[in-house]
Amino acid sequence: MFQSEAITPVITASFIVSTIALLLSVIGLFISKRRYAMALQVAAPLAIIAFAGTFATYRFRNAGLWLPPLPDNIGNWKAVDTPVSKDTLALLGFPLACGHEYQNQFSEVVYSSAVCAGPFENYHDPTVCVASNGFQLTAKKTLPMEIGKWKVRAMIFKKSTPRGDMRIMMYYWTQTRRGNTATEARMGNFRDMGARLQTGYSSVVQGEQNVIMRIYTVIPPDDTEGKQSQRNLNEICTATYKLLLEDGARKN
Amino acid sequence: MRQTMRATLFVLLPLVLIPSGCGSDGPDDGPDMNFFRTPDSEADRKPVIEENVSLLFPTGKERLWKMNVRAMDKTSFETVRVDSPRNIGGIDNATTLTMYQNGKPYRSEMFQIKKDSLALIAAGGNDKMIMSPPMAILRTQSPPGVEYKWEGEITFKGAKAPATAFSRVHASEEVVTPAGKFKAYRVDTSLTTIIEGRSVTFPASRWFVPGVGIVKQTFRVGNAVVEKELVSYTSS
Repeated sequence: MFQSEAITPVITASFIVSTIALLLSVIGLFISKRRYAMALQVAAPLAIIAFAGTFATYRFRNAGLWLPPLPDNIGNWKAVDTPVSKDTLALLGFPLACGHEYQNQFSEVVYSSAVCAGPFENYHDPTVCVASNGFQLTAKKTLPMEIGKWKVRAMIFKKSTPRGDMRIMMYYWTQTRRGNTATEARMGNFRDMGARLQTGYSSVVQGEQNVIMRIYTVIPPDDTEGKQSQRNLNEICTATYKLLLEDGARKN
Repeated sequence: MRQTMRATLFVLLPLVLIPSGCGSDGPDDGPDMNFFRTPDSEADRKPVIEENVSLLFPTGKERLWKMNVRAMDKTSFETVRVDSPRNIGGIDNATTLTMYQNGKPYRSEMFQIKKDSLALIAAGGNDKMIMSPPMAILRTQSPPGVEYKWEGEITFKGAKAPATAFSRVHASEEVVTPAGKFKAYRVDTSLTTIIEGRSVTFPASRWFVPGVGIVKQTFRVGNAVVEKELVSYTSS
């Protein structure tokens, strides 16, 4: 029931203290001396909050412990392992993460990264992160991917360079170990609150484990309508989604 | 009573606003929306080319194409003519195109043309690379963007080397050349072989227009990108 990897010494200590406080407050119900009984009963809500907080911390930590593998070779695509940079990991609160760079025979490259999604600080939305690197979000569309209920959030980011406009096409989705997917942003404090509540519910109440997938490619200038770039993304994303499903089913 | 109502509203209002608050990623929209197509595997499996290869690559004896050639910031001019068919690489009557610069032939390419495929048999100047079997460049029954693989041997200056090529055809797109605007099928090819013990890849793209032939080509030789564009052509 409990994942030992997710239980840190702090969580253990917090569990012990809040459990003792809870027990004492229950004992307070049966103590005849009114002064002590009152004190212990007042401690009960605090103990429950501490207990729930510790449990939620454990669950969020547990939610970020599923790091599925990325496919090594997909069709004629060859993968190279490209770990996520330390700066990025620091920004995200040092979650577990991995990355691949896929190249095909036509020298086209697709970049893929998987970031474990535990606490909310792990969720950095591309619309914010990529835009902060000089790119402008120029299109966003939620696309059904023809496999079950899986959808991705497709985005185009544009940057003007001296050699012309540079465009990145990115697919973004989050996937739980049980195979549920979502595309909503979970970063903003107010505007993403609905999605954040869903995350909290699935992580804390349902004990789901999540991974955030970002798969993107730079649209070459001669791919004027982005058709081949999107085909490439579809191919890599589909193989990745299927492997995540397999891995989730195997470890559950 | 009123106070109870107020207190209830005070508690409920944030709860109502939470789900109604839009996400920070915003609504589906943007000026680049035309870059997205909803995946449709059934449509994506349909062949992209409707015409026969003989129409995409017309090689009647009178055909002639004049091309601009740009490489390493230099521009030159070449004429491509249809030569007499040759027997080469074990293939009879290979369709032969010869390129001329300043009136002198400098390169020839031999093709095997079938109703639904175009294959390169040999290419080069005095010394030609000969593909065995002929290397598939264009397959009309291929869906858009889906690669088809060729594996064979290349003979060059008497030496044989294993080779692999991947090709794919794209849906027709508008291409602008000095000869005008065309709706063209772009075909990408990436040939990898071993030369002097090293793996070398030759990427190339060709734009085919029904009734006209190749209107544009790009390929790489070493670090140089060569681009050819149609200036004029005779169709009779």
